[in-house]
Amino acid sequence: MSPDVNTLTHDIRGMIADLVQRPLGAVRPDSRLLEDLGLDSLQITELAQKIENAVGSPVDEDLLNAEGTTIARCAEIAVGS
Amino acid sequence: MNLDQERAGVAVAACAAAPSPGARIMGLGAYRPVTVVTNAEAARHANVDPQWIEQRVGIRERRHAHGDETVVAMAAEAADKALADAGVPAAGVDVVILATCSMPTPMPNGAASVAARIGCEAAAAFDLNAACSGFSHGLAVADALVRAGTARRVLVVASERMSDWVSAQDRATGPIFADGAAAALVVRAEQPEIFTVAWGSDGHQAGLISVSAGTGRMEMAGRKVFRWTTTALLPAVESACRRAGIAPSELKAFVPHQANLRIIDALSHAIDAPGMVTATDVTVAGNTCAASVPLAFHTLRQSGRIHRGDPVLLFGFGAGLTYAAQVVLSP
Repeated sequence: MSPDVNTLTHDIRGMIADLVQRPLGAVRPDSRLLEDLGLDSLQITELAQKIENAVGSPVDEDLLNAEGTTIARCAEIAVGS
Repeated sequence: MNLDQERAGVAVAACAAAPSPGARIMGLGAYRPVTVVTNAEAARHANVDPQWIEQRVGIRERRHAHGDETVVAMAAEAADKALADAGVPAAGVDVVILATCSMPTPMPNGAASVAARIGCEAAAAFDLNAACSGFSHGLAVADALVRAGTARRVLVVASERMSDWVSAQDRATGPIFADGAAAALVVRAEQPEIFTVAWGSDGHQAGLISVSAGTGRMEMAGRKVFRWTTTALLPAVESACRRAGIAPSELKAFVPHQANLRIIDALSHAIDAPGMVTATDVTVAGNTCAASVPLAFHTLRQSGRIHRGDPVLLFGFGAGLTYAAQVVLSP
């Protein structure tokens, strides 16, 4: 069973803090992947793979890579809402 | 001259009298082009920040071949050094395999010219194109030829001049691909020191890495390639270790294709062998396609961080898509 959106949002914050090597406090649910956190396209792919491992189903990488995508939105994308 | 030569008027490569219980790498050699291209210069051409290159792919500098540093010339230099390392004369080589995908024209092949340059005119000589996994494929073929008794000594040479096939202005390929050559001499052994290859292909994804027939320039879908390398390839690593009769945790060194540092780090992390050294030659050599595995292996051996007999996992992967992994014992 995949985690709920709030739990997943928390998990994704941890994944991204690890990817961009920032403290968890600097990675908020409303932080935008590209604009605020500076993830590049390969990091988006790494993130997609980590999320897929967590939820057990494919994640649309292009949605994660879209302008303005926040961490909270990532969790929604991952659970298909 | 034997009877065959008299009748045909040509030299015929020697073969072994009998199959061999195994094969081993006896010598390694490398050639790096003279010209160093810094990130500052690569970044200027690709219109990106120099730091962006290092952060994104882990490359600090690369070498570009110029003028006389052709695919054949670099291959011959590397082959000469591998023979010197092994202490074997060129005349003792029965087969020359040239792994390359960057010859300037499809004909003639490069291997025959390499054989002639280094002085083993009688050797059978053919090119092998499996792109970035070319050396690993060549090593598997050499191992099979020696074990079968078809050849006594096989030179596997990988040489690339990728800078001829990428646009310096293309940020996805220009700062990454580079030039160089390296070679290994494969000979008979009483015990296998090159273990059975784990290899395969996925031609359904041929379009991910290719040279465009229209532009003559290389194109690569970086994100999709990254995903393929860091997910689909791990079973090949496990198979190669199993075929060598060892657990991945027993590996002393890992020499993957030097695609970029992030792919290398991801694969190394996934193997998770506590005492394993991972080759990161990409930082100073860029991605030299088929030459990257033997160049990185040569550098690692020269560094003294691996020793004779250490189990080393060589792993080539790239365009095709193709992949080949094998465990060897370090020469």
